[in-house]
Amino acid sequence: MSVVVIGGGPDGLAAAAVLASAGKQVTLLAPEDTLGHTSAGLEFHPGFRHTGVFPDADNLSTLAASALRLDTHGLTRVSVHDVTVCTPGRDPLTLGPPRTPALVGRVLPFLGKQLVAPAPDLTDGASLVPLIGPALGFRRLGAADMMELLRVAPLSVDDWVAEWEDDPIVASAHMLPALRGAWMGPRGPTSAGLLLLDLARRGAPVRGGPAAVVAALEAAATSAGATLRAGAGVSQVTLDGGRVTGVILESGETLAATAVLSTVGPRRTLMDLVSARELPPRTEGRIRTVRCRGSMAKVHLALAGPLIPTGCSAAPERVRIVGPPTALERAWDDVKHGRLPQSFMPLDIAQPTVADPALAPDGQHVLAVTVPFAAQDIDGGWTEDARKTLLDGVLSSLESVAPGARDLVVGHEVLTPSDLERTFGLDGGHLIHGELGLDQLGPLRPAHGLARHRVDEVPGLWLGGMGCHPGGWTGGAGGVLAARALLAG
Amino acid sequence: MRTTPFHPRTSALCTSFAWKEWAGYAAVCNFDRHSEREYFAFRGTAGLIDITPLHKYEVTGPDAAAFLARVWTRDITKIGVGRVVYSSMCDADGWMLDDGTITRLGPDHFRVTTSEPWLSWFERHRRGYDVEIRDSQRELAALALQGPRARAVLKPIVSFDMDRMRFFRCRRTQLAGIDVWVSRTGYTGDLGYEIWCANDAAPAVWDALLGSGQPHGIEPCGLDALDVVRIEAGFVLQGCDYVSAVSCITDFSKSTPDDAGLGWTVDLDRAPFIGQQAIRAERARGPTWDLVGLELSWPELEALYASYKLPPHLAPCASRAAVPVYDDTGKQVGQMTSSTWSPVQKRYLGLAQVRRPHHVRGTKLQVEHTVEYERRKVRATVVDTPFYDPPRKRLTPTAGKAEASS
Amino acid sequence: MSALGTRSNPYDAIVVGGGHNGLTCAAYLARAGKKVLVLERRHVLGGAAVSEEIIPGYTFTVCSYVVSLLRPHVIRDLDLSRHGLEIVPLECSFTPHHEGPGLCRWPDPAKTRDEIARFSRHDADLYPQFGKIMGKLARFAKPIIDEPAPDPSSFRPSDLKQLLGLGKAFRDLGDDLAALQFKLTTMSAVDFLDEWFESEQLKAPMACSGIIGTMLGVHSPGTAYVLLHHYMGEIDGSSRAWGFAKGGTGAISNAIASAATELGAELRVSSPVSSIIVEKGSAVGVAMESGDDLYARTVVSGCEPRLTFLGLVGEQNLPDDFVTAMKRYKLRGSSGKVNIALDALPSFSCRPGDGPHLRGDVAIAPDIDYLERAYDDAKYGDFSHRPYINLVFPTLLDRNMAPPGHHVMSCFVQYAPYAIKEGPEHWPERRDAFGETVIDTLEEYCPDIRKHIVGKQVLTPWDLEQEFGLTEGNIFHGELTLDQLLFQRPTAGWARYETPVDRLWLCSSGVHPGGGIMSAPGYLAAQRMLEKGAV
Repeated sequence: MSVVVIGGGPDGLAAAAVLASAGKQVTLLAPEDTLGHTSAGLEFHPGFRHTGVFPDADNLSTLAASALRLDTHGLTRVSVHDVTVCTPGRDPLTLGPPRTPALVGRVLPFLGKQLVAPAPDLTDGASLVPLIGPALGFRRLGAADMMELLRVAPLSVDDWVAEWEDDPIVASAHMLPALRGAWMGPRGPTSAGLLLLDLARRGAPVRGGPAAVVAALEAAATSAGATLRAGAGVSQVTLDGGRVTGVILESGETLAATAVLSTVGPRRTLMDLVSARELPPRTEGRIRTVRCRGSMAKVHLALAGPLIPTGCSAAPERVRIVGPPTALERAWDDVKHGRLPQSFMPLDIAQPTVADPALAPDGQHVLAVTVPFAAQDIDGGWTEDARKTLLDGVLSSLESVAPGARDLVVGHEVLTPSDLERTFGLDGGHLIHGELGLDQLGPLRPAHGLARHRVDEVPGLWLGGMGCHPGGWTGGAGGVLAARALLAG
Repeated sequence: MRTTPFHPRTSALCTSFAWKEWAGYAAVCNFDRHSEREYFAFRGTAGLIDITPLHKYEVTGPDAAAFLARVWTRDITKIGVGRVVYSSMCDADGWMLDDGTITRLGPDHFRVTTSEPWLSWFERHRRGYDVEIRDSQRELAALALQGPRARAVLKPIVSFDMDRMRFFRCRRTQLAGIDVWVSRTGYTGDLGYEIWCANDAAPAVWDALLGSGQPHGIEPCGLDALDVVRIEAGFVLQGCDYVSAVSCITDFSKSTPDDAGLGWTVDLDRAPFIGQQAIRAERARGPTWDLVGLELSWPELEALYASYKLPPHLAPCASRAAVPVYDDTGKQVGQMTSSTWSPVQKRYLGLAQVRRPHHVRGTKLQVEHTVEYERRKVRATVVDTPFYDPPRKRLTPTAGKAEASS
Repeated sequence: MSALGTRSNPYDAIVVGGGHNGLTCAAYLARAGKKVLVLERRHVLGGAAVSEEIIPGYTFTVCSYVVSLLRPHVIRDLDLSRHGLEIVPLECSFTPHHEGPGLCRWPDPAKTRDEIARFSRHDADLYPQFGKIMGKLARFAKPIIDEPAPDPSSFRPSDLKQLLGLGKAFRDLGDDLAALQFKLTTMSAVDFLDEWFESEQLKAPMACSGIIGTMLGVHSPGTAYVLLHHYMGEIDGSSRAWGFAKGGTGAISNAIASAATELGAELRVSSPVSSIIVEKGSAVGVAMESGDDLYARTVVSGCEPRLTFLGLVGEQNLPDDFVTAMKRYKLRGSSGKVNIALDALPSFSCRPGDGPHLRGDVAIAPDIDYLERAYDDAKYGDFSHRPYINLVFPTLLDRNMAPPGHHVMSCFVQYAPYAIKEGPEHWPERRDAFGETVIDTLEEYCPDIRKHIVGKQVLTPWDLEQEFGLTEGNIFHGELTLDQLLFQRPTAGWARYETPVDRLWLCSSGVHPGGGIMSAPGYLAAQRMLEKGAV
């Protein structure tokens, strides 16, 4: 049985490694010239490299790490990254663990378990037996915790965090991760549920960031015997009589396969890679409405010297520049209305050169800035001027906590959601192939009937990646679960 | 309610004031207080009926045929220019949405008629096809001229030799100097034509047809008479004999093409079309229902009425009230959804959805019949449809001489 | 035998608050032969369902103004039509626009289709299908409002049976509909409608039903659910979801009050309660502001839960976690009400003159962005510069509510957040500006409105709290968000009308199934009390 895996990101690599380990003949096809997709570490300015457009590797799935024994392939973890929280006019502080109520400690293991298991199958005719486990696990939390979980999940992160954190700046810093990839601001109901899931996903950060994850997965896949081909974009998944027969590459080359596992996003796979004329209408109806509105931009800066916010004694590796929750909400309003950031821009920043000076020339630094609120499509489009305004906003925010930061910049790369869409083929420029929301998670990720990675109506086609269960910013898990489903099916 | 472009003519003639809504338009039920004259025009001379309210779509573009083949159960790519087909349309689960006709007006131009509006459905499934879909319901006026004298009525006023037009063909021509499309199609099961023209030409077309039809006994007809003749012809009516899946609350009330007696409209083994997988699976399982013709036992009906000291009393028009159908043990096995007294055949006929295997020709069933507020049963037999099928429906006088193919 | 209400001769039940739910509860208790007393603080019964002649000659349906889900069994059980209740359907739903003739949705599907087709043929095709699907979902959701909330934490056979029943009903929907039902509870109204429709002009007025009375925007997750409510009324035998009670919503309260009186309940107005008397963890009666104490075997509160517990019961009589829960209970009033007396009907420039389009509700909701911007203003502590307004002309449905030829206009206005940035107590200073904003907004659609105004009444959320006891001005006695619905209304463990205080019960919109003129909480509370032998 020969399997083609589409996509060279962590999920594709993880899937290839799992399948190859099980003795399948696996060819992985990555469209980019470098493996890693958005997790690849690239030179963005002469002499300056980032560790991935993907923001971080804090949520690398324990599933992928343990299933593939990534530690034997060079993956190392740091215990925890200190995050420095900055806000204009106030001394920076180090973000401690969230002072969440005791409930969180009790429900996270339950949630974590759901994130490494296949999604419950809710399709007609599915056996209810697999649901018994999670249902009992849920009830085993006890009446009080169960009810509290049901109360918290639909809340807005703004309301929930306010229950246990008085300092609005600290509260904002805790909220930010929950809002990544969700199309909502801190006042959006259900964002508290997303924060719980984010906490459940969080693991020990990987040394070297996403690029290091890619390196380890690549080694794992190669040693398992998978063929990895970069620069091999797929233009079509071919079907015969509704069954997958292989793929056609952009070069025109055809490759036969008994199964195709795609990690380039469920919607893109079904809507773009499968011919519209062959896509069965029910599947089309289910995938068509998946929401993928990218709301994050990435800016990479080459700095002549380290970014040291006022009040910090040394260059921090992680910085969050935030205002109070209201400021986050205002930044979200800009996304909602499809306009350029008009007010203070909250930022989530990594300075990878602190840990790995080799990423930049001697004494110089790299700043990888995640802009958590940037609309996919703005009025008038992302013109050169608009992108300059975005960069300017980023620099102003930096300047507001580290005067002089602007003058350190010797080079930059701005990736708006529309750049991400163009460069990486991401639907809507959404880095994880589908918005996070309670209606697009679990058995509904990417959509009802597709959460078990199999496309029932297109035999031989499998969906993996972050657009599938378990979703979130969890590299590898979607690939491993998809590969396992393929092996089991 | 809207009025059709023929309204000035039809309203002047409609002495009964009996109108009803048809797809948003006011449509005549019968011009007199009784539809008998109109019925006998359809069956004996020629009846003219305004069918403008039909939903009509113009589908154009290089992929028009492939697109329609995806949406309809017939393989539309196989039909030549100038041909018309009748087909079913299903949803992804293989449930009937509608039935209608597809006419190939040109290599890249089709006209589709349906009973319900489907623009959004077509738009949703056009992805991957280079087609344009335009709703032409309000741009095109349409008339059906049906009956044994229909050809004779058309012949003198149409520039094409009507003797050469074959069954289920369509062509563009001139009628009394007006650009029209004429198709040899209809809903009466007899010789007949449908004429399509621009709205502003409608009154002139009406006048020309009535003028030419005068010596042949042409009559303007309404929907009540049409309902009787379509049952005689064995034609199902969406919303009556089966219900479009989008209008159903439960799956029980939905029908597959096989359930609705339209299995013959499905070309199953070809490129993917909507409903294909479900229909294939159903055929593998064996369909549950079929739509059959029933002939009620007239002697038994007469005897039933006689037991109430009454002569047989049947409504003067077709009935769309569904009544239960039982097998000979009294177990309900289906429902008769349309029924009518056939004046030419002197038989009481019905269309019924019955569970298989009660669909087999010759099966003896019983149908509920109410007399004097009391529910009784009357014996009925499964018979072939169409009930009424005159050879002239298909015959072409100059058949054999090749008709110009386009 | 001494008078009722003494320690030795207590009432069976005292209902605090004479709103429609309190009255309903009292009527059902009285029907079971109980001695019931209802105490209303104001001079008139009805709570927020009142009609008052604020300006001589003009009757305003002061707060609530339309009915959709008043439980039909309550109407039958209490024979409300004999007690004067007459509900007429609103004929249509009209959304005026600055350009073109606006959008009017009629009971006649063909007419509605033509209206929608002006914006999108596609949407016109789909609108009836959407209604069909929503109708199916409503069939699943509807029984929930006629039963006590399910309790997922309970292992009692009866509760498990109810849960299993719900689970079965859920599965019976079929997997696609079940998924849709789940999506409906977690998606935003706009995202949900986007899956179906393309025209803003249709989506905007539809999305509004998701935000009424809540401090959320049409883009906020969870707002899709209320779209269902619109379809629950339709399958209730009537083709229209919304109705208007002749005489205003006060007529509903009056009918229930009349039924309750006939059944033997005692109703007192102008009788403010200062506290609920709790002795040894048990409610024994109420202390009146007049200084009198009245005793009952059971006390039922028809007031909003936070007011009931933190105001009337007192923290000292409650467990700490319950106090925390009540403090967290989200009220967040977001709307105001402007009632206007007119000497003539105003004319909408997009559809001038009188006409059937005015005999329904009129929504000022031209597009999604308009609604979202209205919310943006409110988020940061201001009333909407251009609010969503839902207005009806009660006089077109009941000519008795104003002098001949004159009219009253009832305007529900959102957003008017309780927590304005100056502080809610500063609302009285901003009341006029708020009223003017509403008139200015209306003037953009009815340029002649100002000259027809005879008088008006402006109710801010502060007024709703001060005058009607609606804490923070929330018209539903608490936000109708997922975390405060079903078994969590008002808080987990206390959704079955009982409270941590023995012999104290709740029957207001702050308990399952929540707000709106349904009478369901009042009915369900009475049923539960009788079942449990609490009275």
